Amino acid sequence: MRDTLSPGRQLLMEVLDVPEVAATIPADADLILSGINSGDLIRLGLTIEERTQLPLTDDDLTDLQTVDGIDRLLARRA
Amino acid sequence: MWLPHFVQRNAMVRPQAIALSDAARQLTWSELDARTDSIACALADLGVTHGDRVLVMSANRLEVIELYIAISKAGGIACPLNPNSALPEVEHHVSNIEPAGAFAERAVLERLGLEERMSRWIIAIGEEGYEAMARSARQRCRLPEQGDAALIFSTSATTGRSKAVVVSHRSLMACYVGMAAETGMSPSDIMLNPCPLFHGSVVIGLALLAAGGHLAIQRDFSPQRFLADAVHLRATRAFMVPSMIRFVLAAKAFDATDLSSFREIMHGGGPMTEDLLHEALRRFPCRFRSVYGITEGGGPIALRASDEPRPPGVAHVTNPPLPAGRMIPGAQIVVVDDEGNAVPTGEIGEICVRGDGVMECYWQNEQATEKSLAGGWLHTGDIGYMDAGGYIFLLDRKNDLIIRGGQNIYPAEIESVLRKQPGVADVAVVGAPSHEWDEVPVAFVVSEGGAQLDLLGLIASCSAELASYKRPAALYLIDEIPRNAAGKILRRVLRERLGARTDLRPSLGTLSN
Repeated sequence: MRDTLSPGRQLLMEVLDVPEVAATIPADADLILSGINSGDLIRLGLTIEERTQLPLTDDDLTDLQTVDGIDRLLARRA
Repeated sequence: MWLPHFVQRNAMVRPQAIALSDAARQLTWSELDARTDSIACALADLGVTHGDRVLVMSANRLEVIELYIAISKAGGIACPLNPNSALPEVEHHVSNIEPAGAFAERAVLERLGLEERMSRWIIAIGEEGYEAMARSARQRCRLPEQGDAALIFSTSATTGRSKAVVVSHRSLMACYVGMAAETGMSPSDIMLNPCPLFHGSVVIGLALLAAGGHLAIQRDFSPQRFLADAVHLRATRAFMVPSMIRFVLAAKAFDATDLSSFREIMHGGGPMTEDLLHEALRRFPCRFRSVYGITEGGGPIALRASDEPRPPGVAHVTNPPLPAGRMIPGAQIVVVDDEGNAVPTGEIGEICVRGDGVMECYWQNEQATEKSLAGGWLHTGDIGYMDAGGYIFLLDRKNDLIIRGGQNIYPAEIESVLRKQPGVADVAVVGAPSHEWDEVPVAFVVSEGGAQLDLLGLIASCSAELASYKRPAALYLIDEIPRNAAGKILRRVLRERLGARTDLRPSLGTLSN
């Protein structure tokens, strides 16, 4: 785990019912395999669209698989 | 013989038309018929014979449907299981259905260590061994009979252990007859399928295929991909749970997306609210259709299109919900009282159904089968009424089922995991209302002797033993689980405490509304 409070991890914590779960996931681990519900990732994607006012592309969706990926996506849109 | 039959028939009638597609490939009816013949022959070589169960664990992909058909052609019974199931869930299901072998995606095999754990043949879907089966010698096998089992679905159960619902070829044909008659499904249809193929709702996709249509499978649901694929494929139909519709409407690309190809969006698996339907009708350029169904009923049992006049309901029920629909051809519905007697029109009772669509039984579970099919009727556990026009209105559940975004969860499943954790003296799980998922499970926990509990550890125990959608959205520590004199948990009291949220100690998790 590189940065437990990276922007991607913070955002993930925002959309989870139990935010503490996000803190336990390594940055490069597959979120679904780590027990994150696919529905939570849908919420995450829509939250990013709302914050950035831009629709997510296919490449963006591919990034929503790890905390590192979410960080990359957010950095692209910063 | 229904699954093999409609594939063979469509391969004769429209051999070059697209039957199935996903993001990676597409298959014509001719190709689908040939590949499933070959896989069936290869299965016979592996020893699969009449009535053998074959486990299928995969995320959505074209091969899942291909396997359902091929296994049927070999005389076997396809047994889909959620690929995100936790190991104890898989072990229980496997020990119940005793499959001859299994097909699974590599990621599932590795996550669960299935190759080491199962002393049966296992084939990784989509890899060379699988493709070799699909290219192997082609020969027609002895087809199953209409009354033979085609699929066994795993469903949540009141006892905390999943039950296995046996669905026959006759049931799948009944679903097609009812759906086609009411919706006009046809070979010109392209149906976008974002719902999981291991779920009982897959029978709607199979009905579309039987009608000669093209089933376009999405690997997983995302509102953005749904919109992109709808445009790319010029989709005419889709089936979604209401939560999915809400997410699609929230996607940034929605208003700029051309959805004019849609004729109809079907929805089911959870209640549709007035507000959501109103917004969907305002923004989608097509009609919507409510699908009321149950896995044990063989899928849909009642339908209502949004352009049908709104039935008035009955005078003694104020603020009735949207009607769930009217019985489809072939599914007879009655409303019964606690003694199993049909009640007069407009009276409230349990919804029961009978017809060719109803399941054969719960696999290896006579007691549950007898209870569920008492008197020759399937008891749905849904409480509601039927008006003079035959419209069903659903008001409540007879049991404690929680439906989270279309997926069934019984409290006992979660309670049995939490109860065995160190320091837990008692536990109860109830459904809490959720804007996004309709309902989410919430756990109330009593610690042993007031001991400090590792709440995150409790959540982790659920993650280890249950599929992720069953994990409680919140945990509350309380002093005592309210029970009646017979020791039965008073869930209504807990739901009231949740609603008030005034006397609950700080805990883990948040409830959005």
